[in-house]
Amino acid sequence: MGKQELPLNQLVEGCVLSDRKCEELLYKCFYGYLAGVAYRYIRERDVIRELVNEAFLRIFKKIDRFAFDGPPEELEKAFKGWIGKIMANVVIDRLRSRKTLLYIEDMSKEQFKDIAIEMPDRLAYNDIIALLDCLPPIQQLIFNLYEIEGFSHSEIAKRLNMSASSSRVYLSRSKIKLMACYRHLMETSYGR
Amino acid sequence: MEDKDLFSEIRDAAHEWQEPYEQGAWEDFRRNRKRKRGIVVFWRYAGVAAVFLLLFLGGVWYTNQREINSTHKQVSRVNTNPNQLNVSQKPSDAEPTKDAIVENVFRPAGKNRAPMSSVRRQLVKSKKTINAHVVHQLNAAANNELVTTDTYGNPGSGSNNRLQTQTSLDSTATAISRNNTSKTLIANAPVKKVPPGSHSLYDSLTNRVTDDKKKSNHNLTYALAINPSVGNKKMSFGAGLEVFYPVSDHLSLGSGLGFASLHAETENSGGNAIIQLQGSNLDINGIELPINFKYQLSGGFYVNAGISAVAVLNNQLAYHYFTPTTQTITQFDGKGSPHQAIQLASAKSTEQSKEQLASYIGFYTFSTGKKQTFGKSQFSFGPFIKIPFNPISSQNIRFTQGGFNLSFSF
Repeated sequence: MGKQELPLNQLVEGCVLSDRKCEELLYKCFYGYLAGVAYRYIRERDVIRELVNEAFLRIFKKIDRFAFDGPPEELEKAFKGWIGKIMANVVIDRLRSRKTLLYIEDMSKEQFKDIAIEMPDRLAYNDIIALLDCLPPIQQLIFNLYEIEGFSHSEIAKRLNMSASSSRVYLSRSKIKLMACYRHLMETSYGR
Repeated sequence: MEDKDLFSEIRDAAHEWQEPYEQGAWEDFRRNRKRKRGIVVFWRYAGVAAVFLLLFLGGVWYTNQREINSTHKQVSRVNTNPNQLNVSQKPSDAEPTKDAIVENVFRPAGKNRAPMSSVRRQLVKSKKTINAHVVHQLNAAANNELVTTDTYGNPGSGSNNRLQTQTSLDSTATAISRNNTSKTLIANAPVKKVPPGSHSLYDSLTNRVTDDKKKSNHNLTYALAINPSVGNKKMSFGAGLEVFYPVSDHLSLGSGLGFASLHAETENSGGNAIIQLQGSNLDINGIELPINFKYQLSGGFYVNAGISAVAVLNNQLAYHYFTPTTQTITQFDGKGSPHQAIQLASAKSTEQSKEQLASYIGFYTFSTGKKQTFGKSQFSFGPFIKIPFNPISSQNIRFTQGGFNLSFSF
């Protein structure tokens, strides 16, 4: 939040009142974060800007519904969680509009070979992306939605038109596969 | 790294990550927002304009009807009064009766009638003058014929001439008698009960707009229309009331109100997936408000172009899936001993979407057709095409439709 001159709560209040400067500041502050969220689902840079803009349209439209009663230091985290969910919804809508929500699970071992982790103790964002790329699309999607964005299984089930139990199964498989992938990469990269 | 550490590490790293800000992203966002707002504002204004247009057209129609009705009542009251319509009167004598009609039409009823305005008095006066002139011309024609007879009966001609003159005199006498009879007939002719607005001579001289002219130029045309159509593998249906206001001889502005029941189905190609979206069904019911221009061509043909908005009353979007499932069945081998076998089967499932669809759908409409007259009513028929402004749902369903329009004007 380096460029932010106003505290977040004042920025949000300004946006509720449709203050153009507050909107611009909020947009520029959180553009990078939302682009990062979108990138975890869609690896197309040219599409991401369009999706982020669509998410901001929804954010500014619904910003009066954002409410937080916790301690002020948690406000940014809560706000990020809220806008992250909106971004995820926009991305899911886009994936569904493409009609290519493939539920493929099997991946060959050849898909692991180009992935290398740079820092074994402290994971960088690129390492996470590399690890997530090990997962089949449906597992990747559910892992992102549940573990990172904080959706519940019932919410995921509604969004993806599947049962909550299927969502749980996909999540547990994704965790197992992610761990296996992580160990495999550690062994191949560092001989651990 | 432990399992929990790994996932929390992933979570933290993901939340902390920010992509670099792209130059011009905010400007791009503002442009997009302005465009989307513009579309919303346009539809709001279009809706309001359509309502005002309908109110205006309704007002024009109501005023016209009221004027026509009041004129009918006043004229029929005067025509049915025997004291004012004397059939034995001469044309010049009959005129006050006609004037009375005119006066009664223009003047309010009651004892304390207001005096006629100077313009109306002048019109009545001109009419009297015109009628007197017509009678004078008729008399002059008869006199001319008498003069001709005198020429034929000139003394000093030969016997043949005399004979001819005699014959001519006889025929002339008959002609004069016929002329006199016709004069009497004109004089004694009963005053026709003319329908209101059909005083052709009077109207043409005074340039008064007759009811016929009003009907042809400014009256609204109403039509009941039904328009079945096909698009997106399903049949849709629309019906409603159309109103047309003639702007000129060939061009008319139309609007109306109707019910639209739109249906669409999409299909998705299969793939190697465990669960695969096979297709979707979208059903929408709404109120349709069209605004269009109709151009009348020769031979009863017409072309129509415009836009229409459908306010969605209810919608239903359903997705169809094929989910492969496994079934355990009991099979018997050659020795007759049973064993379990797993069989792969596909189950088709349908789920209702929770997606919020647009409240309004806009269409460009184009149609052509022919108008056929049956008695007092007119029957129009012809093909039409409707092209939506944008896709309806995230599944890119477009309600592009082609169909046939049938309407009965009255």
